[in-house]
Amino acid sequence: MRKKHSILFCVLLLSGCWDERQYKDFSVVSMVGHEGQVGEITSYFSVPTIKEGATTSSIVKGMGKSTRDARMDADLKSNQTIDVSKLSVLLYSDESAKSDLYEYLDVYYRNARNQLSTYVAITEGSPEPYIEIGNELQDEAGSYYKKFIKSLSFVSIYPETDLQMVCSILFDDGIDLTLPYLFINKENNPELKGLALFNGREYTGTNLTVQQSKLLSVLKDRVGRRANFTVIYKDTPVTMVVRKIDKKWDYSEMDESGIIKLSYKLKADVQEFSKDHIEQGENKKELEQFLSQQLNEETNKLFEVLQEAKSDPLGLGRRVRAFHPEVWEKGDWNDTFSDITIKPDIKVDIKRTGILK
Amino acid sequence: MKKWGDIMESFTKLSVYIKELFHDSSDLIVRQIDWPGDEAILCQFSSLMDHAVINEQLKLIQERFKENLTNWGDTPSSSVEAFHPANLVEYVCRGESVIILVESNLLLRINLPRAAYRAPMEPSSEQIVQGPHDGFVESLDVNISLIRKRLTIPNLVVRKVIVSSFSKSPICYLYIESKVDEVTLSEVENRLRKIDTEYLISAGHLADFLEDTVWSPFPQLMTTERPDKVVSNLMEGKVVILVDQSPTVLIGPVTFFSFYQSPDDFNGRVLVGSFYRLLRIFSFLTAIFLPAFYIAIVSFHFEVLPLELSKTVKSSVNEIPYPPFFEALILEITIELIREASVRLPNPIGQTIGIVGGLVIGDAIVSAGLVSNIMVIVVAITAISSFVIPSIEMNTTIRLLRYPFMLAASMFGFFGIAIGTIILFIHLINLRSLNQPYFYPVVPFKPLVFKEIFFRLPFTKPHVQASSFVPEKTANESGEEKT
Amino acid sequence: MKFFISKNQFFLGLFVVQTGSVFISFQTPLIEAASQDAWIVFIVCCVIQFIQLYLYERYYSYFKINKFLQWMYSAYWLLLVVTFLAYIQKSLSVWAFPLTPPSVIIGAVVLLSFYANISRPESVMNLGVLLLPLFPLIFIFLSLATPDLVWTNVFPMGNITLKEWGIGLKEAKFAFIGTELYLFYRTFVLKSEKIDVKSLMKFILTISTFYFITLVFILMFFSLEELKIIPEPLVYILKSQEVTFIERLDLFFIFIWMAWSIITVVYLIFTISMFMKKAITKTMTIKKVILHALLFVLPLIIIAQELFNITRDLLIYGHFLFSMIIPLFVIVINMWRGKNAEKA
Repeated sequence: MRKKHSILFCVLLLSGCWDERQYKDFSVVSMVGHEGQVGEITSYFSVPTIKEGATTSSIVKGMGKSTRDARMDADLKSNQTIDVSKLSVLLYSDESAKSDLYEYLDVYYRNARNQLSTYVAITEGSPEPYIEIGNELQDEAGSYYKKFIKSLSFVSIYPETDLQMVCSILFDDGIDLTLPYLFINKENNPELKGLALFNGREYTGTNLTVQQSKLLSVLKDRVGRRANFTVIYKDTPVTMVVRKIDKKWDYSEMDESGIIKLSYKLKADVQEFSKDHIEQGENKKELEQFLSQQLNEETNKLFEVLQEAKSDPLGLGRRVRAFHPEVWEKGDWNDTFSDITIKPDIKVDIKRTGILK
Repeated sequence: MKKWGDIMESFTKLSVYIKELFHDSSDLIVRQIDWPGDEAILCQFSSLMDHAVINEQLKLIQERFKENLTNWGDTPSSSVEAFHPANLVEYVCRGESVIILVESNLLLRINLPRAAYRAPMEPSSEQIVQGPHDGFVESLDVNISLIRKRLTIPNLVVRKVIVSSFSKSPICYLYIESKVDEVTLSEVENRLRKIDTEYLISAGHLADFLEDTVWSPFPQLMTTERPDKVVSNLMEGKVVILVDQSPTVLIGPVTFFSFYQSPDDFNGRVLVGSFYRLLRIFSFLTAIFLPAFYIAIVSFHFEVLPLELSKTVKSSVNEIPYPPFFEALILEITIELIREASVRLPNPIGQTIGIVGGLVIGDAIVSAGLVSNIMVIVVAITAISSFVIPSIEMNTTIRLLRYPFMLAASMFGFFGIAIGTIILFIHLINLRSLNQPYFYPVVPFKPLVFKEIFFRLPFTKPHVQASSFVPEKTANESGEEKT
Repeated sequence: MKFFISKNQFFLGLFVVQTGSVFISFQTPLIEAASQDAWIVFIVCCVIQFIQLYLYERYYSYFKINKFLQWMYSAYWLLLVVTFLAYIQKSLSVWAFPLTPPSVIIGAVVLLSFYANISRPESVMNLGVLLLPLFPLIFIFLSLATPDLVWTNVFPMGNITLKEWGIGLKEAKFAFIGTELYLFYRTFVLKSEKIDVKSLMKFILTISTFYFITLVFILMFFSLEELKIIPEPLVYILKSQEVTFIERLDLFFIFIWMAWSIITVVYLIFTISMFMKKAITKTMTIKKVILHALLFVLPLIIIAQELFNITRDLLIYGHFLFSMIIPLFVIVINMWRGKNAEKA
């Protein structure tokens, strides 16, 4: 009987010997930055330390052949095992992103414990200062940048794209990836420069401006809460907010002449217009025409940039693959994309004008 | 046995004999009284009667005797029969006053015992907000009267059996003739007949004999002290078993979900009742799984916590010296101690225990760094949700059940919980209450009955429990199928 | 042992056994074989399945097998269960418990199956009920992924070769593994409950809708290239979903699926011990003990020797043999004999 009891007691003490991972033994990193090329990668981990309930973070640097190897190196320099299962943001230096991005990301997909709702961003130069500043601004850099990127989707600059969607897009030839591109401004704060354009799995080195990024979201029909566009109309600023987007992509001339017609109907509200009296006479129509024309011009410019960078973040290729296999099989879609003609046609329809007329 | 004639010879001899039978207890009265034309001996326990009432009754009977009425001894509270010492013992022990008429060899019983009973107060273990507030007491007659006054119908049948060989305590079972399931009834009678014990004084004793699986943690018979609950169960065709001198009655067959229903549900409004019913079912989940879930998270799968929450958890568990399982065990045992202590102590001191236990220990244990504050929250929520269950026994069952789950979680994380849940489910499926499915309406599966369990539906008619594991139509198809 | 089941129990059991372990994994090989057309292949497969069930229903009374075939079927089911168990262990170790030894996980599952199997047959038949609340849960989880679906992924249609059709159909048919239980359990259904074309239709629609939704979700969620590297895409979809209060839905899903598979295992083991009663003349309990001992050892061998892919392939062909060819032969022979007997 005594033997039985002692066995039971041992079982209690030894409980969970195999896969137990006590939370207190792990240092859960919310943010990782990578720079360098495969073979010599430097990773920066924002490691939190908890002292009397307050969290402070510091950077642990690791170097190795791969991202995983770099983490092993960093493990040697910290008192608790580094765990990346709760990663909220991944940063890559612009130079590393210019080679195959998936090579750096594979480790995050392969482990079942890793979270896939992580955001990915590109930094100008080494990601180290970004993490450092993030740690200063908030107790953990991860939550700072997570909110930072989330707010981009709120103002329709960058539709939320988590790690899983990044992977889907990287593997999909019919669409190309865009990632937020950060730089450090004169006030020593991280700021968004625009969206980094990818060709296949590699960063092209071209960025969209913030305004163009917003336009891209509209074209994708993935606007967030607010999509504002401000233009100067007859010396007064007009700000419109896109409410609803009707998009129609016309591929009927694709096979013969390689033309895609994109027609959009935007239902918009006017938020700012100091001349007032929009509803009077032809005012509204003129304003609508002006706005449409402005947007069309900007869209044309946007496509010039995209075609030059051979990057199709709009996913025009997906429908080509689905319905125009001859064009699709002609060659690499990114090359085809830069050659086709894209005719955008945007019509703005003002629906509401706020509480003033 | 002494020779009969010898004893009857004289009063002295007889009285000595009777006193011997009762081992000469001091509260025994054996006294010669005057009786017209006969020698009469009064025999009774003075502790079990009201003397004035007996005097009155005796006077009445003597008058009737003098008037020479044929059935002079038979009144609502008295009767006459032939004398036999065995009967004498039984009657006197029960608190009757017995008068032996020596010459005519008769025995007059005056059945007016007096014992101390509580008033039918509301049982403290099953309090409700609205509705009838009376409860059973420690007397079979009073209890039956509490039921019968609610069901003034001839169909309410009361059957009495005496099961214990030594203490001879009576047991009554009640049912409504037109509603009860014959098979269940005979099952109850069968099991009562098979009881072989020296004494049996509480419903708990009896339940051990009647239950299908004594070792199961789940009670398979419902206990209650509320007459209104008994009546509604009788109307549903169940059998109610009362034990003398016990305010607790047993109801069977029952289902698992009936333990989660309170008479309060039907005293309130439909929506309100439904809400609280859902809340109780939810409390079942938290009471069993919450600590196990928390242990599994902090020791196996901390990646399931969202980032914001994980920071709080991390900062609270970071400096705790014990593994979460021990941490939980310390707290759970403390709470059980507090509960047990406050049950045993008189009310005013009980509250002090609550304060000392809850506030002082709870606060100090966290600041001493023995237990993390998240764990305190988890265990407290668990304790509260286990106390929500209306039935006391189910409540203790649930509290007991979470320990194996905690152990499983600390050994295998979610895998342990999942395995434990399936075992629990299989066990519940297997359980029977008086040979009837316990986990109805899950087994046999009746999707439409679920609404009655999760919601308090408008009261139209009492539902009837399934009587067999076999799907309904089988009974007609092949009579001999029995599980 | 004699017992009766209702029509609902019958179909629920069939549903659980067929979906069992395969529903998280049949999609990848199917999509690999048939690319974007996987869904069309699957619909065709469902029609075939319906015809098969209809034939079963018509001729099940002729399906009476001898001792040798009983042994064959039992061996086949045992292989099925063992493969399931190995697969459960494999998935659990990949998704949640990489370090726990296989023997512990398989031991726990086998013990559970043993506990269930020594219960009354009615209890076993009712186990499937445990899964019912989990269905809506799975679909709620899945519906979170709807905004991320890309509908153009299911096009272009009809671009696959005949060979790809063949492989696709084979892989799609794998989703319906365990169909032959229909023939075995049909006789236990209450005589008073009629199974007509309508109820068959309902059943096949339910199961194929269930599969179809998962298939289409996967097809639309992942790009084809990506799918080739993801063996359990359904779990992966859930993994990528973010809910505010909890992360890693996949972990919960894995356990839902595990409970599901365990019940499948219990059903199959129950079936073996039920229909093997003529094959081994021993008491039920000893038979069950032996069976479960086998269940414990064999999956470990499969895992240790890495036989998993071989047994899986065996099962696909076994499925054709045992659910189509043998029943066909048995039924035809018995009908022929029956006619001869009538003549004589």
